[in-house]
Amino acid sequence: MEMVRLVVLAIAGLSPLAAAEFTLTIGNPIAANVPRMKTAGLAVRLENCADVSKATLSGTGEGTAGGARKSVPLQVTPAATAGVYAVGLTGPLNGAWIANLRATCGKAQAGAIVPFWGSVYVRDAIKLLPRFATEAEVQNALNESTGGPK
Amino acid sequence: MIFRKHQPPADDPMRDLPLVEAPESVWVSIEAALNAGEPPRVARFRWWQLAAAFAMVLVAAAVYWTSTHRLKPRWEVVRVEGAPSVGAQRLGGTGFMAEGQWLETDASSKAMIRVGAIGTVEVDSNSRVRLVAARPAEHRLALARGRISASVSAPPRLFFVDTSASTAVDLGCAYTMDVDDAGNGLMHVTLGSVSLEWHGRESLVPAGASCRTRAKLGPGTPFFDDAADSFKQALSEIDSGTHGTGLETVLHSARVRDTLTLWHLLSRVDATDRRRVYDRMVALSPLPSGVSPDKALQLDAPTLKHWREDLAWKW
Repeated sequence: MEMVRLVVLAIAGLSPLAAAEFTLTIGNPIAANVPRMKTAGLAVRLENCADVSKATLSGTGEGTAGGARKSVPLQVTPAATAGVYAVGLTGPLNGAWIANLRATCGKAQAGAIVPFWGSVYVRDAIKLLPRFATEAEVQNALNESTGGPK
Repeated sequence: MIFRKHQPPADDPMRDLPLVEAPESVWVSIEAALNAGEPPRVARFRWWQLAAAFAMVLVAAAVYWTSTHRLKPRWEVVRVEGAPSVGAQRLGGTGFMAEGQWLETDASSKAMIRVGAIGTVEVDSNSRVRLVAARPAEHRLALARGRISASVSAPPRLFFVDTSASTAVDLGCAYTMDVDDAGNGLMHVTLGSVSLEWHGRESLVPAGASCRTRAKLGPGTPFFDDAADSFKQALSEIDSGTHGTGLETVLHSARVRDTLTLWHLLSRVDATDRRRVYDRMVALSPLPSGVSPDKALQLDAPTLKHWREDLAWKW
């Protein structure tokens, strides 16, 4: 029985589908090449999704405006290339804020936390996740980027 | 009734003609017509005709006036601080600047220009800006000195800012631009991207990046603002044409996203250094499929464009 299990695991390990996990690539807005979306703060590409026509991408901007904690929906605009999107804020957030991205491809999920300062993202602080980010992860990332309590 | 009013002279042969009485029916018909009493036609004064004529005169006058006194295109200017001036006039609150006019701020004044319906430009203190063109297909300013912050929401290539060392072509963006008295400048992009163009040279500056411009040399090489100071300093040496260890430092300290800088350097260094730049780029980020090393080193334009589009995912 143990032998069978090892064989199954070995086959699964060799399978390219199993090896290629659904994930996101974050890029500069010019990578999405959506000139009509002027407020794009970043470009997102779905990776290893067999059927991007059934994939989804959404998210929120988490930060503060007028001194109060705000959660603002993100505008997600598909690019000409399937599985590529330009993403931007739909409302103002002051200073440091977080883009909390949520993507699905069939039953697979992927997420990303992208810290921003103003309209420019902080490349080195991006966190890619094999699932949606938790509330705690979002809050921690926001605290880190604003220098607040952890 | 007999007609006798006229008696011909004695020598007139008409005198010999017999007098004949007109038939009664003729007189009856004449009297009937007179009794019917159709009033005589008198010209009536019609007000609508006068109004129409007046309107036509007005239209003709308006056409003549607009053809001879056509207004120059102009943009609204708002005083933000102090007393900026447009042309020779001080700006009290809100005014206009027409094509060809200069907006000038001193050490204590600032202003804001409404760029038609597509955006705004904040003009910082100690700045001099001229409105070059205010047309639907060309919104163009010239920055002679000082600092502006532009925020434009329009299709690409509608808004331009000329300096002595470059033309900033808006690709949908927000940015700041500084120019000193010598004509050297620095552009910093906060949203979208800008193309700095000058005599065939072009620098693409995306959000989060900056680019210096130098009088008589044009736009320099763009770099991300979070690059190491040593990287920026070495790049400045390369851009100014100083032959030293600048390239060595840039290649050594480049990160993956600094391929923005290396991609621009590839076509600006000589063949020997090009190979070094290429090798460093490939080491930082594998060459994407469809990009031929040989064509990249030969600076084949479509190849470089394809490579740049792939690299932008790492910027």
